[in-house]
This record gives sequence, structure tokens and C-alpha cells, in this order.
Amino acid sequence: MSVIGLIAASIKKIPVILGEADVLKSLLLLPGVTSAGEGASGFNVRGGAADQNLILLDEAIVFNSSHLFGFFSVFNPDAIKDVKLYKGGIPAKYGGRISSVLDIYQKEGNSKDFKASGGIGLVSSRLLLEGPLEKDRGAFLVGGRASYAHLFLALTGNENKAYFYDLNTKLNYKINENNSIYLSGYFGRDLFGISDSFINVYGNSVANFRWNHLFSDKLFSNLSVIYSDYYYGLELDLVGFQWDSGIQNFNLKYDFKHYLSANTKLNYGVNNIYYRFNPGEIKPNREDSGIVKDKLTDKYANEFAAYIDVEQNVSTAFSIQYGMRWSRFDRLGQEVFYSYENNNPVAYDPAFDLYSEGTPNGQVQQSRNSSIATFSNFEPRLGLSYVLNDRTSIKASYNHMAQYLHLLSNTSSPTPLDVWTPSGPFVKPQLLDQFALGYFKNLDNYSIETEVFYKEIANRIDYIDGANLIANDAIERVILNGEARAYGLEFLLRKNTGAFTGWLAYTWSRSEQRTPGRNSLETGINNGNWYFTPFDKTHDLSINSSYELNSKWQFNANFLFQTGQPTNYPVGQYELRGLNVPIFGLRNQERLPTYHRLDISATLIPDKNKGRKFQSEWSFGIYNLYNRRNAASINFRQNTDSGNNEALRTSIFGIVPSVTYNFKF
Amino acid sequence: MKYFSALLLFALTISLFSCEDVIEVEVQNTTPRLVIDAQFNIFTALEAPRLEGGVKLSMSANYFDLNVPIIKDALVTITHLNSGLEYPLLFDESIGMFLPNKIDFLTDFISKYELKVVYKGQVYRGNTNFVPVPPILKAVQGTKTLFSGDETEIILSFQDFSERDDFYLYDFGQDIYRPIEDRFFQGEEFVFSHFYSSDEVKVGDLITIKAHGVEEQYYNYFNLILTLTDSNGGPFQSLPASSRGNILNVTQPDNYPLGYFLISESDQKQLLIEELK
Repeated sequence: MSVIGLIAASIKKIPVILGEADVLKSLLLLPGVTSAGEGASGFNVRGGAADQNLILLDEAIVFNSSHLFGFFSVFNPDAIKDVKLYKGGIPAKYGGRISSVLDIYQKEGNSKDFKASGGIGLVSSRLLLEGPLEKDRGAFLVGGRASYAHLFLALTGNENKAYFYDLNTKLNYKINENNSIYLSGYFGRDLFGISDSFINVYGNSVANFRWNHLFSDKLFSNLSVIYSDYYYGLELDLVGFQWDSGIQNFNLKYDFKHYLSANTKLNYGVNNIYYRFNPGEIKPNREDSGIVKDKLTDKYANEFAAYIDVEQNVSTAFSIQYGMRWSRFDRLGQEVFYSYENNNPVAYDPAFDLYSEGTPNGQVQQSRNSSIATFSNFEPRLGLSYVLNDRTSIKASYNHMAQYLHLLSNTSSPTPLDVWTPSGPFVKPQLLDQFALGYFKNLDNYSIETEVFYKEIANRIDYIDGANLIANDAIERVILNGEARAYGLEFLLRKNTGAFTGWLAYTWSRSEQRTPGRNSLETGINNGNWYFTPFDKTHDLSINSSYELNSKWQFNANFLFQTGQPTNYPVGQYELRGLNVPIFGLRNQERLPTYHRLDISATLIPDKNKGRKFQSEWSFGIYNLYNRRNAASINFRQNTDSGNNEALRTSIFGIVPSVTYNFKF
Repeated sequence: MKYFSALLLFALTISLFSCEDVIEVEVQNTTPRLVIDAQFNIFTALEAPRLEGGVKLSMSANYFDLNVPIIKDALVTITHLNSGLEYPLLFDESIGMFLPNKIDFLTDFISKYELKVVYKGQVYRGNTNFVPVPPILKAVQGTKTLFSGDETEIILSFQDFSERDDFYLYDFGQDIYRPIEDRFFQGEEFVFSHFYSSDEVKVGDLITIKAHGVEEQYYNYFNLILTLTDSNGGPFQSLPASSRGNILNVTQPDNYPLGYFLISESDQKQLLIEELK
């Protein structure tokens, strides 16, 4: 239960913006998965934040899943074999993020024949090559994708740049019957430039070396050595500096699959991740710059976990999966670590009811080999499944999980420059408890999946008013500890067979957080009241349908209908230094207008494909067919001409037609 | 690192894809509060210091109201706390502000100052310091452009005070401000550019750029004010925050005022915008 599986072929059928098939956009059409709106980075699962998703590409952690701020995901659909999203009942093998696990595997490469496939679209093009290294023993896969919309800008004399590219590789080699090795890699970058004044580059790189060994036909093992990093760089010529930040991790995993009997299977293993965080380094980018080279203190941490998971068929009707993960997180020493009076880095002024950055009363330097804070957690997992009859089953699950990393972001959706920070003396790990209950039914051509879930998260951090997170060397001075909760109901009706297939997905849910004062004198954030998270959506309905007219034509349509996201309207204004300053009340009290749109697409497979190796198809699409101006945000500002205040709606995509040509041989 | 909001960059990029329109929105209203916009900018480079600013009293209003009510019937005084001398301020009809009849008492870097406003039987108080600013060394027109290609670049520089954390507010006219902290150029000569859009500045315009010294608290406060007033759109919106300044209502604390009391040393440079090739 609580798992969504998608294969690459079905992702490619779903109409999407600008004709680019996309893993994340496909997941958003399924129950329990939303985003903070068009153009928002990342995704939200069951009311969780975007930083609470563990995103794995061939087992390597991916820190930023979006290209162009969220218009595209970083996963090239051609290079992907399959995608699994765990929303609940997450097996003990996974840990480190508390909302979901998105487990993506790249294709292995074809070990028999050389194959090529690709596509030419309006925004980007793709090419993927695969073939044998040694027939039936080894294969390679190399894929690339690049966008070129900026070339059109250049043609119009516009010097601004916005593009992305990514590269996927995979090699596999079967040494003998019992041993195989794999090497996979990903490298992606986004680049934005505004003339020469701003240059902004970011992206992920990952590499994984895997060794698969069969001890016997009952015991399999997989050893992985993984490196991944996320880099963010900004060059601001008008001020004269270059800014670099990022996160790196080295991950060692050893996993075993053990078939004890026909009815009992064990998964167990260990995992160690070493992290280095570079919150930022600034240096002058030209000689006359007054900027002095400076570096925010690097942070280091180590995360270890051991787990065992049992899948057991108790009877023909009843099966159970139970597991335990033990995780231990060590925040390691760093060059400068501040201490505060009463261990309290955030000051509170009751007269003004204002939180502000505390003043350190000392600083210490610790060795990187010593631990300055240690957390350990037992994380039990449980899944029960009971088959009532051939067609009906009920399932229940519980998971307790810990998350030791936090993405520092106080905008409604993460931005590429948001930095990750480890738990430590002032930042506690986020802890989740989730319960889910499901009812599943198979009819002849249909299936119905219904689930309810409830989750609570302890230690969700929130930010004091006016917190500056960029280049902040002492983040503990601007954060307070809060909590979050989410609950909801998910319904999925699928039609899986026949010429007409598709699904209807509906979610009702609520996602809230609160940060009370630390003692009776303090008011906390938002007066300590619960408030909606920026990605709360009460109703979320998606219909995806596909109709195969004949071997030549296939048609698809999506319809989405969602409650508008929480937002803020001013409750007053005042004048200061000539500016009209809005006054805001409690957080997220208002909502954007309801979001809805219809997308359609048609795929043409030419007749001449028959009987030849070269296969091609055309895909035509229209996104937002009736050109609904969905509000991505409503902002309030003073009109520069009239001086009066006005409300401004920003809508991102109107109607967008697209055409893509795909081929393979 | 708030020389330039990187979020603005994202907003600009998103604007390549997006469109904006003004819509009708119904907003809630809240109880009006007294707003004390008390800023004294003292230009000391002249033989006799010159004052810009004063104490402007108004009430907050509903968001879509066209005007905010101006308050004239209050008692306003400033006390030089080291000497204990109290200076009354009188309402000046021509500029709509309360002003002192002399300003030399405001240019003491050592003493603290207290502002006291008595309005409708309630007493409001706030404290501040006179904060220095280094003179603007250079203000020249440059040739670079930014996003649209028709902006006007102004290259500015100043010599940062060494061995102390400084905070400045640059005022480019037309309500365009940039708070600056010296964290990354401590004690150095700092050179930076400001870009005016083609709507803001044209060839033949005489522009005035002012620099003011401010306290750290004001730097944070004004950054927040700019975040609140700057509608950069898109999905990267900041959460709204309460914008309380440094003035308290000592009679009835819940009925707190908005606004800030500051005294800045100031400098300015003027330049005529030319056609540059």
C-alpha cells in the first residue's frame, strides 16, 4: 500500500507542458502528491515539505529534483527504467527523509544490440545510446538532454540565458553467474544569466559503483559506493563577487536479500553516509571589487543506519511486513561553533514581541573527528495485508522515521539557493509517525484503491520574522522548533485494460504546522497557532485518460481541479519613507483561486514504421486547452504611476501548444 | 548578502514564461495604529549641517484606501539623553512633519536620543543613536545593462569604516532603497553598481543618490519592510512578517505603534544622466 509504481512507457503517454515527458509531473497526477504550484520546485507528498522526500537515482541521493526552477524534473525519461514512490509504510531499508521515498532506477543498457533513441522538442532534445560492451555480458548506456530555448532569445538580440542539460550513464558487466558490477552516473546543470551581470549555475552530480553478489540462490547481496553532490553558484558582477555553495556526500551501502523459506523473506543491511556542507564561499570576481574573500564555516556530519525487514506470509490471506531501522547521526566538529548564554541562540524581546538573533558569548573550535551532537533513533515499520477474497484486500501500515537534514527555506517553494543544514546542538532531527489504512478492490476492468493517513512530525523548524537565510553563518539564531501534522483521504480509480484506459485520483487532505513560544512569555510564530503549510490543498482531483483509436493514433487528456493554495492578503497599510507598507495578519489565512486546467495530446505512429528498424512517432499536445489564467501567486504592491495599491495576479502558463518528434533504432 | 535579492533573479526568469494582471481582491481590515515615521537625515559635509526628514505621524489604513490620515495634534519631543535636554518639535504645515527649530543637538555620536510622542492621552517612546556614514567617493555613469538592455548603470564607491560592523542605507530616489552591510568588505573601498530602469531615469535627468548611516536593527527592519513592499511574484514568495520598529506605547503596550525612530549622518551626490555609447 501507499506505493505508486510507474514505468517509463506510461510516463511518456501523459501530456505535459511543452511536450516534455516528465517523471515528477506524472506523479503529481496521482493521489497524495502535489506541488506548491506551477513553476514550483520539488513536490509534496501527503502534506509533507519538499525537503522531506528522499530522492534516489540508482541509490544515490539527489538533492534538487528540478530544472528551470521546477518546470522540468532532472530525470531524463528515456534513461529511466522504473520509478517507485513510497508515500507510507516505508520499508526499513529506507531512511533519512520522513515524507516519501522516490526510488528511480536507470535502464541497464542493451547487452545484445546497439540501440539509439531520442526526441526533438520545442524546448529540449534528447539522445540515448545503448549497446553491448561484450555480448550478453556487458552493456553501456549514455544519454544526454539539453534545452535550447535560450538560442531563440539570442536570435532576438536578447543576451539573457536560461538553459539546462543533463547526462546519464550506466555500465554493467556480468563477471560470472554470481557476480555483476554496475557503474552509473548522472550530471546535470542549470544556467541562468542576465547579460553579464548575473550568472547563476546549479545542479546535481551522482556516481554509483555497485557490486551484485549471489552467495546462493537464497542469499543476494549488493554493495554500493556512492558519491553525490549538489552545487549552487552565483556570480554577481554588479557587486563584484562569486558565490559558491553546496553539499557533498559519500555513501557506503551493503544490502542483503535473504529468502528463508517460501513464506519468509528478509532484507537487511547497513548504510553509512558522510556529509560535507559548504554553506557558502564568497570571493571577488574582478580586481577592482572591494569584496574580501570569505567563507562560511563548513559543516560535517555522519549518518549510520542498520536495518532488518521481514516479509512474511502468515497464511494465504494474511501477510505482514515488519522491520526496524536504527539510525545514528553525528554532527561533527567544525572550525567555529558559537555558544550562547543559557544555550539560547534566539533572543526574544517581550516589549516588542519580537524574536531576533541572539548574541554569542563565545566560540569554540572542534576537531572534525569529534562529535558535537549525537542523535540515535529506533525506527519501527509495520505493514499488514489481509486478503478478504479474490478481489478485495485491506491493508494497514505504520512508520516512524527520523530526518537529520533540513533544507533552509522560508519561501512558499524551495529555491535553488536554499542550503541544507544538518541537525546539531541547536537543530533537532525531524521525527515522523504515520498511520495509514487502505481498502483495495479489483473489478474486471477497474481497480479501486482507497487510503486514509494521519501523520505527525516533531521538530519541524520555522523561521523568525525577517530571518535572513542567505549566507547566514549561524542559522540557529533565526530558527525556532515547531511541529507539523497532516491527514487525508486518497481515492484512486483505474481502468487498466481496453482501448480506453486511465485513472481518476482524488485527495482530500490538510497540512498544517505551528511553532509555539518556548515559554509562557513568548508568543511563538503566528501567535503559536496552527497554520496551513504553503502546499496545503483541500481538494485535489486529477483525471488522466488515454484512448487508443487504432495502431496509428492515440489520444490522451488530463484534467486537474485543485483548491487554491494558502496565501496572504494584507489587512491594512501604512506609509513609511514614502513606501506603502502592507500590514499582514495571521499566516496563510486566504487562498488563491481554484486551480483547474485541461491538457490534451495526440500521438501519431506513422504506418511506414511497420517492418523496419527505425521507429518514429509524433506527439502533439496542448497544455491548458481553455487557457485558464491560474494564479501562481497574488501579490500586493503600490502602482508606480498612480501611487495606489493594487493586487497583482501572476499566472505562469496559459495555453501552450507543443510538438515533439521521437525516434528509436 | 542582500546587495541584490537573488530571488529577484528567479522572479525575472519566471517572468519570461508568466504574465501578470491586476485583479480585484477583497481584503480584511484591522484596527488602525499610530505610525511614527521619525527619520532625521543630517548632511554634515556642508558648513552648516542640513536636515532632511522629521517626524511624520499618520494612522494605518485599510489596504486599498487611497490616503492615510495624517496626524497634526500630537506633542512631539526629542531628548538628548546625555545632557537631559528636551527639544520640542512643531508641526510644519508645508511638509506635513514635526520639526525641531535647530538641529545641532542631533549630531552627537556618543549620546542616545529619546523620541516621545503624546497622542490621544497615550505616550509613545523610542531610543536611537546618531549613526555615521562614509562619504560617497564616486558616483559615475557606467555602460553596462541588466535584464532588458536599456537600464542606466551608476557606479558608486565609498571607503568603509574599518574595524566596526557598519550598516548603511542607500537611497536612489523614487523610493528605491538598498540596505548595505559591510560584512564582506570590512574596511575596504567598496565599488558597486546600481541600475535604473528606463522608466525610472532618462538622458538629461539630474539624479540624487543619498547615503545614510543606520543601526543594525534598522538594517534588519528596513530589509523586512522592503521584502513586504517588494512584490516579486512567482512561487518564491516570502512569508509575511510583522514589521515592528523601535517605538513602544508605554501607556497601553498592546496598542503598539508602527514606524521607526532613527538619526542618520547622510551624504549625497548628484549626477546628470548623459547619452553614453
